[in-house]
Amino acid sequence: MDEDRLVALARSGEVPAFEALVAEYEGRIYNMSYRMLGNAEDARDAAQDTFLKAYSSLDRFRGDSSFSTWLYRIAKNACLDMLRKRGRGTVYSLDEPLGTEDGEMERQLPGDLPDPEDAALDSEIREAVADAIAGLPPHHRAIIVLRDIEELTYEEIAEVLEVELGTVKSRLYRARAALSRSLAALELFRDRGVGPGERREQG
Amino acid sequence: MSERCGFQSEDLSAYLDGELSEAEVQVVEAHLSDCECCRRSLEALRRTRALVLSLPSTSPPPEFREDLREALRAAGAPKHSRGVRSRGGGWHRGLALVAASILVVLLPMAALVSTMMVPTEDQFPLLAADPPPGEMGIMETAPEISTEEAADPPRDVEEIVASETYIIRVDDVEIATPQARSALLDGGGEVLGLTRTYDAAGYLNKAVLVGDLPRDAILEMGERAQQIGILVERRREETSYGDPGTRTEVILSLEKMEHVVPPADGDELVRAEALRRPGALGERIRRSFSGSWTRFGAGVATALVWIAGHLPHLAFAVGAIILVFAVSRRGTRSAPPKK
Repeated sequence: MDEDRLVALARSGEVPAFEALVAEYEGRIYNMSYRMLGNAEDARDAAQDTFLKAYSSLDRFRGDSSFSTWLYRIAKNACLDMLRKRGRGTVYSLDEPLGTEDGEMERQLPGDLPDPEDAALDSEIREAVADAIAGLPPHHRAIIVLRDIEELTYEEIAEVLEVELGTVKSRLYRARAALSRSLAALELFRDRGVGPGERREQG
Repeated sequence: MSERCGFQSEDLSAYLDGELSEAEVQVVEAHLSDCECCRRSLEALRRTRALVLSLPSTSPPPEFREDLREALRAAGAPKHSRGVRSRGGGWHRGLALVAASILVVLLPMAALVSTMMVPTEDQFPLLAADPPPGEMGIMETAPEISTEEAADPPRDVEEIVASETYIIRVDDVEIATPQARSALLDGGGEVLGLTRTYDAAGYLNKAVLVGDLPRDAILEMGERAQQIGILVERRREETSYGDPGTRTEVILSLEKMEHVVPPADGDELVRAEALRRPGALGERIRRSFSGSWTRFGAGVATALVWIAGHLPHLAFAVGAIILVFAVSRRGTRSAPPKK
């Protein structure tokens, strides 16, 4: 049965149809929540909230985006809510220029990152990567997760985050640049034969 | 120096994702062949991306679906209370619930009770405060309020919850009155909240009405406001109140007038005073409604009659619904997913 039909049935109150949608999406929504929130308990709560909210507002699903995009949007909101509730007290400034005062994006990205294709990553590195993602401001986290974990297109991301396509592009770049910096700052990789990136003064 | 090579780094990131047009790809590739700095940036981005991609996928715990099923059961089937019941909504959801429930409970009651009563000006000072027909436009279309009209629900609850709704937030004293409230109701909308603020001297200086309104109605309202030159700003915001998905909030900011209306005796008085003032914004709005919004007349009056006539029921309904809401929340929470 195709998804539109399932959604229509679920809207009309057919619980099994909704459960079929849950079965289809729970993995993706949970995984996204997990990477956004950094722990299993919050991820489970956020994923559950997502489906509850989706269920209770199915009739507001207007079909002008795909069901999955709509669901991701709910999940994104659930995760951001969870982060707010958790009240980390961290003030993040979204899309702030990185490291420079004059608004000019600092162009140097660290070179001392392992090449994942060189060798299978051990669990230590994976953990460090997950931690580094969890350390990003929520909006950076969201866009990295949506792109590199959920593998959405820019257009889908724009719909989920409710921003312009151009914003997706620039925010994703900033998020990746920030992530590469925090990964480099962990200095986890320096002894692994990848070598510290040359401090490039010119190019 | 490469640090200022001037190239859009975000294009490198999009290049990596295959999200550039063919022409853009050519530009990037041409630049990369010349610029060592950008080649290195690209490599750093590629590695960063690959590291994220390499993270293993996580799966929900085995009991996830059963827990969710229980929570869904506790939340109730959507067809009985669409779009308004869920765990942990914000004020917005609470208001929506109250508003929808008021309609469910109130309308049948109104139908019953109104067969036994005929509205009079004494009972409904709001109607008495209205100017004579013809003077204020809107009443032209509803010079008489009959008992039958009062008995008829203006719209079906099912229709409200199923309609494509937008939110209107009108930041203006004169608009955010029962006038606008009625317009919302008659347009198939749903009033979610009305807040007022007063200045230090106790004068009403701002009122914000939040309600759902079908798209066409809100577009029309915006057009009208523009035509008569009171539209200051119209913008569209995708807003989330921690709500499912988002809601499109259309904000119409309308011209403000001097506020000299004391908040003495509640909404109706404020409204009546505001509308009486010659040349007041309220009057202009009323006139604007009387044109293409003629269909509002009867419905507006009918809705006002109900609201005025059934305040006790309304209070009862609100109480009952809050109770139900509280219980349903508790019900949901009492079935938490297993750790």
